[in-house]
Amino acid sequence: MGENTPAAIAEPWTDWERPNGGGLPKPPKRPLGRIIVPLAVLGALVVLGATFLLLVSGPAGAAGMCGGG
Amino acid sequence: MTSVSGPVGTPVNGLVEAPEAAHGARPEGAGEGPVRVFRTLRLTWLLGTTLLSAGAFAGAIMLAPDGTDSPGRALGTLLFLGSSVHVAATAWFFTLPEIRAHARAHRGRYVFAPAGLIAGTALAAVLVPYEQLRWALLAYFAWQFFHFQKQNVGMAALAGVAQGSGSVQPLERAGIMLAGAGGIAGLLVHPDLLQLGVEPPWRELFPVTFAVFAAGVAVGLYALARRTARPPAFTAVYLISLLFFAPVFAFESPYAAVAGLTIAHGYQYLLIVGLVAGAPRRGRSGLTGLAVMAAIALAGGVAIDQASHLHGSPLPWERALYGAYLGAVMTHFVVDAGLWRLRDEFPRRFLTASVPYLLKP
Repeated sequence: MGENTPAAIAEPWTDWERPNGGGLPKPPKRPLGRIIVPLAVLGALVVLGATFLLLVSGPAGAAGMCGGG
Repeated sequence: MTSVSGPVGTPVNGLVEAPEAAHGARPEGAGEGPVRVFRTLRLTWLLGTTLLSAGAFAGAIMLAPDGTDSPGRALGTLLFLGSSVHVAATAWFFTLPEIRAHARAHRGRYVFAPAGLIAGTALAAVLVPYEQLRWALLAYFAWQFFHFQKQNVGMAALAGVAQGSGSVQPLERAGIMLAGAGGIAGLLVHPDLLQLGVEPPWRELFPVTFAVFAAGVAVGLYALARRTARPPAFTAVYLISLLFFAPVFAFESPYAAVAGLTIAHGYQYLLIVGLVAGAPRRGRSGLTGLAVMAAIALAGGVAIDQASHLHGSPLPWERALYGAYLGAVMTHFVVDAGLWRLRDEFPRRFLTASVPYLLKP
């Protein structure tokens, strides 16, 4: 690294690194989409994961690899 | 862990030290809100790690099928999340520009080693019949369980730091590693527990491996007794780390003996990566980060799970996918060994920025 340090690792990385705590505490008014969209994605993932487990996945091995190796 | 020296905001070896990295987790001028959030998140990690680990062992033992039967849906689901999904979660790190920049600066670990591992194991799986390849899998599993035990040391160290009682001491670390060495050796001399279908000639060494495990536990307990401050959460995480391989010596069923280790390791990882992903970042809320991480982990986990079943395929390209799966899991070992190495400056800075409530309580 040194003088040619990429900008991405020379700047603050999280809102917690900014003065006054950056994004904390949360601003009083927050766009609803920033809550609903991630929640919808998480909900969809739960449904997809459950579907996969019920319909597609094979037997899992105890050590994480396919069982009966 | 040692602090990065230098005045606030001064570039230190190319990195700019964050204010809280020098003055503690509480951001300057922050009100009671962030402090409460940090306290809640610290408690979430400490309790979560303890309960998920203990629950993983208990769940695996209770749900383990008899003999060589396949696991039921419940245990299969726990294993899917704890193995395939947790491995795939590592890919999320590369959505962060600072991680990509770090990887570009360290191509050996983050580019060439993964490419070599994936290509090499894909080729090996095509060329080497599975009957022979499964012997090589003993080495693969030794690496996997060594990776587990390194994480155990990290969890105990983090629990000590987060509780303000200091990292693990050399003797405490030695106890965990010695117990882990005994556990790993126990699995290698008794590979029925790994469901590999190989018959090694060194089965009679199993009691010796137990003696090594027991010696490690004794060293660890002695070291723990010598510690001046033993906060309950640290003690719980340390004992979980020390006794992690105990089921190997207690059960004949592969699922009762090994699945708990796999699930506990994976859930510990998903919890802390979830906390890192959930840190608020510029232009991205914590919830968005968590959703992105979950999407990558689940999609990647499905792919890894599917590839893990292809070892017996008559089609070379499917066996290549199986080999690539092995290489991808080993890539997870290699990448993790770099990203969580707190004695190095970049991981220390990255994790302090993401989970300040654990590293600078």
